Amino acid sequence: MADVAEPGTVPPIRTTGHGFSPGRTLALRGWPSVQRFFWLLLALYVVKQCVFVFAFRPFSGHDEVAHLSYLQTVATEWRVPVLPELDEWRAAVRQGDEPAVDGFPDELYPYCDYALYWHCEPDKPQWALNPPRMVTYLGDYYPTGYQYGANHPPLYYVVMTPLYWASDGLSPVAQHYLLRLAAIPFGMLTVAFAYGMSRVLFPADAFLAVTVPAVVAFQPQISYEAAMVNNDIVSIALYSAILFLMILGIRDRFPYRVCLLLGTTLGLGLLTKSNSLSAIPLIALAVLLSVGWRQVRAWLVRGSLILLPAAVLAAPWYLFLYRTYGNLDGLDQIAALQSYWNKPAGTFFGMLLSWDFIVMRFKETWGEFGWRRIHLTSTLNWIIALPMLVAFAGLIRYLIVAGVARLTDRDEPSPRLERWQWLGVGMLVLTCIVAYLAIIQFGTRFALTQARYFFPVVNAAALLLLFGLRTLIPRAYHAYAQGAVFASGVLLNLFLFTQYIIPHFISL
Amino acid sequence: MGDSPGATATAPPERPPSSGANDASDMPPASATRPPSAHDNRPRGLVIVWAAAVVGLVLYLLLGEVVTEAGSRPGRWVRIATLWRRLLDDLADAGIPAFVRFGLWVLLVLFVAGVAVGLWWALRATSDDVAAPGAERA
Repeated sequence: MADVAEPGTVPPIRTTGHGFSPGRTLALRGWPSVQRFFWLLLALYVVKQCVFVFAFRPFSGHDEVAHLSYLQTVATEWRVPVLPELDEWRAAVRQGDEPAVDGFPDELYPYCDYALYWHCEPDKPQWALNPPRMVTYLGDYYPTGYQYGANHPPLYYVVMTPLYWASDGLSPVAQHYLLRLAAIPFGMLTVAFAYGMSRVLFPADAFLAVTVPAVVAFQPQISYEAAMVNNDIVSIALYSAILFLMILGIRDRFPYRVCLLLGTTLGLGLLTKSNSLSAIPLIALAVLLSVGWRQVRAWLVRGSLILLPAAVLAAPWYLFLYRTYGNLDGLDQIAALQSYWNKPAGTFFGMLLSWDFIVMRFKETWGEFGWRRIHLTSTLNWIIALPMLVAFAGLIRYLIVAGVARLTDRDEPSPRLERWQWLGVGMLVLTCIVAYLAIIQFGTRFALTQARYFFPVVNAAALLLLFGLRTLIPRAYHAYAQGAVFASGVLLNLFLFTQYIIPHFISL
Repeated sequence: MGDSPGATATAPPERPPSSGANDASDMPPASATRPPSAHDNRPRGLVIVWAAAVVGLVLYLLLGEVVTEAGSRPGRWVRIATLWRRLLDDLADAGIPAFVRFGLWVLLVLFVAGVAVGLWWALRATSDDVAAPGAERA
């Protein structure tokens, strides 16, 4: 049958096994081990995250000072903060004025070391009483302690505002811990979407249904994001939802309901962090390849159903950016304000081919908590990297062998994938590539490009790597491998806490 | 003459499509015809692995020591249990109330218990457990 034009005519794609179904998942009796494991994993995740919340010193997470300050502005002044325009600010300073700038609150100056370039001498009485707001560099004035996160979209801060109001009477530190706890549900959503995506793409595979959410749940940096005051974890959860819906759409050839959900999620993602922009071409390609590029009306309708809610939700924010800064990201203003210390991390191809760049991104993916403060040893990094390299090799081997067999009509190696599954796997590969290239692209302008910008696609990376690992393990040993992956995640977290994190913060 | 009343011509049923990672060719060959027993569901190997892992984890947490890495200071051996106790003591200095610290102790114990159960379920989860052939979306 030709590719499909209308949802009503779409033949159902038959799959064996149970797909992801919330109704089934909530059934109380007769849960299979996989579902029982998943719910227990979520419970363990909450417990672990509570430890993450309290083990790290207040405000020590990257940009927590900035995020709490942004939230204060939203909750108390009913507006989003604005970046200063460097030239206007300097002109005012030269006239002897002290220009009003959206800055970090004075009471957070003791934590200045955890903010980016807030001139930090909290032990000096003159700065402790009156935190610095201006620095000079080579004779030029620059603001310091300003709200450098002001170009971030406002959704996270708006969502957290009721909690801020409810905890208004508490000390900043107590309020900070509460807000950290509020990040945990977004981490749970990320784990849940990892499970859901595995079940949709490989409906009957226990190995992936167990290991993919387990790896995401125990990935230390994703856990760290889900235990601090920041919009990254919301962005990660929403991007995970986008990937889940994209795979669901590929399986079912993008029914209208999935398109609307996808568009709404994309819009919320754009209102949370601008890195959701990278999902737009991926979704477009998935729709085109899934419904068939010749079916113009079909993909136009679906594209509209996705773009419309996304545009309606995100347009006010981008209009605000354009009217305020004259561009759609505020990065020109950031670059000017940081010009006394910022420089490009390298050229695009220089970073793409740089071994050091790759190694640093790997280190940031597993350690370097805070602003690159807690470094893992080279030995531990290799212990983490080796199984990943083996899994990656398994994935590449499978894709080459199975791909060639499929193109030449020969017997495909096990596991055999249907066309839509090939498309799903291909889109996940492309998603990871795009996310990594986005890190590099950002680095062509900013020194502080970092692995964190890859985290929204953690579910795609985990699923691909574990699929690669699965192809290397005989089925008779899957149960042991599932246990080993889960136990490795637990041990890694215990080891990181006992060897690195706790000793970093307390004196022994 | 042999056709049933009302029967219409139809093509032979298609072979059920593969569903990727649950492909039958990926399954082990059938080796027995009797119904599985409870013993089959708990192979001795899995029980031994699970028990060894849980005992190892508990011993590691109670008796284990690590060489701490803390900046430029030389590392030294510290009991793992001592580290966690120091962390919770430190939280008291940071103004975290006693009931929260007690709650964290409880959570740590629950975490170890949950890991033991989770490991067992991870070891027990099989593709047969997930896949009832033809279910759901057929």
